[in-house]
Amino acid sequence: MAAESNVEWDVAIVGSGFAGALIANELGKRRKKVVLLEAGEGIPPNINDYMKRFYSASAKVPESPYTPEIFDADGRLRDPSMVKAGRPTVLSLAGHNWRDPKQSYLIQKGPRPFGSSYDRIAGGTSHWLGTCLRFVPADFRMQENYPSVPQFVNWPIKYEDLATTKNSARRTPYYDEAEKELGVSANVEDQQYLGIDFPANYKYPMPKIPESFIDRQVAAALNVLTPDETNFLEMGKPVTEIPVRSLPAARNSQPYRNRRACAGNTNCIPICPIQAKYDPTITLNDATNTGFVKLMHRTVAREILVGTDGRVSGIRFTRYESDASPNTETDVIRAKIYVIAANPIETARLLLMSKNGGRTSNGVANRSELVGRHLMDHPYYVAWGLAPKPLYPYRGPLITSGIGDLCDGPFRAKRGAFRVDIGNDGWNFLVGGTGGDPNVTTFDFVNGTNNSRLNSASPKEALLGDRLVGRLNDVFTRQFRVGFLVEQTPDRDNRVTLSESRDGLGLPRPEISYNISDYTRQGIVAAHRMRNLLFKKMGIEDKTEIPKNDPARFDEQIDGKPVTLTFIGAGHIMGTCRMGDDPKSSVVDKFQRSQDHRNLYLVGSSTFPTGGTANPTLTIAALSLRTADHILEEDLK
Amino acid sequence: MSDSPHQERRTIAPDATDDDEKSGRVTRRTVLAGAAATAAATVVAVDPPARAHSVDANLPEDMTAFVQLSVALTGIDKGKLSPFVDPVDIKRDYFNWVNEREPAAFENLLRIAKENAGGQPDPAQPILAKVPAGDDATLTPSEIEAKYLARSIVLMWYLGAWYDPHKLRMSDASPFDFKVISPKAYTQAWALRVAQAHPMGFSEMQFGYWTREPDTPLHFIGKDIPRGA
Repeated sequence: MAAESNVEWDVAIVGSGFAGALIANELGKRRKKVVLLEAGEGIPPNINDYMKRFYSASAKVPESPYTPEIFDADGRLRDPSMVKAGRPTVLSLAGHNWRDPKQSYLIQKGPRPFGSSYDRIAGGTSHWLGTCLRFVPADFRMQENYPSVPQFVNWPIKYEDLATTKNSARRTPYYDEAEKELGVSANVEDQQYLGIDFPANYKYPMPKIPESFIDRQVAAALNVLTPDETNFLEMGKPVTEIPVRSLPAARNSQPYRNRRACAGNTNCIPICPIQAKYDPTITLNDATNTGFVKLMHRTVAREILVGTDGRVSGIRFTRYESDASPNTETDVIRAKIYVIAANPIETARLLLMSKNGGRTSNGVANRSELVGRHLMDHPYYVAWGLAPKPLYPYRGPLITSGIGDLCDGPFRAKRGAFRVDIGNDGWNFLVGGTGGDPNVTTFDFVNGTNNSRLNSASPKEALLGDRLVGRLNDVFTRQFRVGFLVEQTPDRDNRVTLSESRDGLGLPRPEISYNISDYTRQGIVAAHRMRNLLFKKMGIEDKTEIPKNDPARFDEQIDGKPVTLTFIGAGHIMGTCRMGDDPKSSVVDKFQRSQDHRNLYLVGSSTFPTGGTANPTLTIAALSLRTADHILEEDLK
Repeated sequence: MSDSPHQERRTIAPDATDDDEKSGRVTRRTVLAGAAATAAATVVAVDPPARAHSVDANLPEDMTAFVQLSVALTGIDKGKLSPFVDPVDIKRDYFNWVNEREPAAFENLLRIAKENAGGQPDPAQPILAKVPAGDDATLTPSEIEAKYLARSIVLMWYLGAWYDPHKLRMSDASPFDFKVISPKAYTQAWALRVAQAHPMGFSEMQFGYWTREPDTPLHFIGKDIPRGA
């Protein structure tokens, strides 16, 4: 029997990502006994092994520094049925393998691939970019503001609940608290748009991350526009300038909480080599240092047990030794309060797996039958090209600025909003398929090939010495890429269910049904038009290429011309346990408490009723702090 | 210097003996002898026999030749590629890596470097002129091996990765078919330094550098970019 099973815990939390870590830390600081169940590995004493794995990886994908290993000894993607705590990887999203259960952990039913992945260490959120945007106020009131879109609902809270309301336990609002805990660098002036406001005299914990040389060229190009050029945006007013704003980021612009300032390693995803970027291991270390929080790693929650009184009575879990070892141990952890913080896909999977011998045959917390539904992402439309003069990419954080002013407006009655990311990473993850540059372009000019579409001379150039240096300097310094995070409607049939396929512990793997609505498609179309405007203003020669077997590609008529578009995952997994006031139409209430079980909370972006366009993490963090206060004040008084 | 592949194909020829190499008795006289051998080889093209490990990273003349070859192939200045004080010493890792995999072709390339060293004003040019290039159909088997090994060596320096030269020859050669040689090699890669940046995940610069234009290529690769190159 696991020693932890003998303890009467105040709170048991499944998952140690942002939500789990922040809640554990808040409770630990208040001397509540907390146990965290983490399916993956624990926190290493330093990141050396992660860095070694990253540097050695041939495919430097977001998952590359972390475990479990992606490849087997023969260099093939590991069969997820052999992995005890599996995870999706972007390497199993290609045309040839996205529906192959021997390569893809997620069982993808389509019709389109769900393109976002996650990890199993500290909730897997270590590989995030660090962007800490607030949602704009309209994002919380989509049904009210845009009633013509049937999929939209309102959140049961408003922007003010996170941005201005002061909880009795705290002196500051939750967004401010979250920015402090994550250590956000930004300036207020840049973040005041579309109704985002701040308390008087508010200052972010650190000054903003300076804009990149590229950002400044983009800003100059969009500084003077004609209303004709921007008509397509349908902002309800003439747009003659589109501001480029620095991105708030949990990335140190000066030393903060014993971590260094960013040195521009251009590697936020998948890992900052100097930990200038916050990740949940930082809060997890604080939490365990309180002496009241225990982290159990390689511990997979497999069933939420519900008593006849309707309260959760325990969580059945299996601990494993390693993927190679057959040794496992299954036991039950018991606590007063239970928190599931396992990301939208794994949270839904655990709820649906919890059948309690048939008493909860639809799964736990699922009287609404909405668990697993309304899965969302920010479908990410990317484009790349060659600028007429050097922009000097591959320098600084991966993204330092973006365009946020186009995230809300009258157009939202008809099409999805988009937020623009300006890449500082050249063609790193784009060109030639997964992996990209600098390898693809270098290879082309050394070996006389044209995967990059840059070596189109006849015959193709195969260069050595000074001529190679000259050519590569010329093309690398002019590479440009832009990304568009597109708003996705919460669609009922985009959902997580349980598959017949099993993982290494014999548990059903998540099955995903996923598509994009016409509303979202039209958001991508608008993003494409914005791409055209930006490229025209900057004189950029388009080099975007969509593979013929890309399962996400689709065709549209734009201004009378056929255009092929596509999208990838943004890593912003949202939905599956929506938050609301009415138990019939929501899974959790406004404090993320289950509508069905009083001592069960489901936290994280799984509870987002709509997804807006902002990266979800800061809002996850703010909601988590709010839930921690609620647990302390209502449940553990 | 002719660009004719028919002239180039005559440039790979055996010169100094194994005994000379192993004993380290390569002197200026040997180099001159090598040059004479090359001159002789212009008359009769001879493919050298395959010999394993006949060059050695511990022999100064072999390492010197490897550096000269690498400087010529990559276009990176010698002071950057192989600094006088070189605690990282990635060149030794690379030398051994190649020598273990492609000893015969490697020896041929080092021989070219040795035979054509010291050219002025640009020491790279005589070496580059002798590295086999051109259409495979016009080259001997050993010249083809040398041609693609030269490319593998460039890619190794630029990307810290090994692209098998035998695969580079294939019409379906893939930029994704490689192995990272080591974490150290990744951090020493030149491709993004040529771009006036740094390998992703290995910045030696300070906070805020990204807001300005970078230093000139001189700072990164030890020389300015030849315009119109």
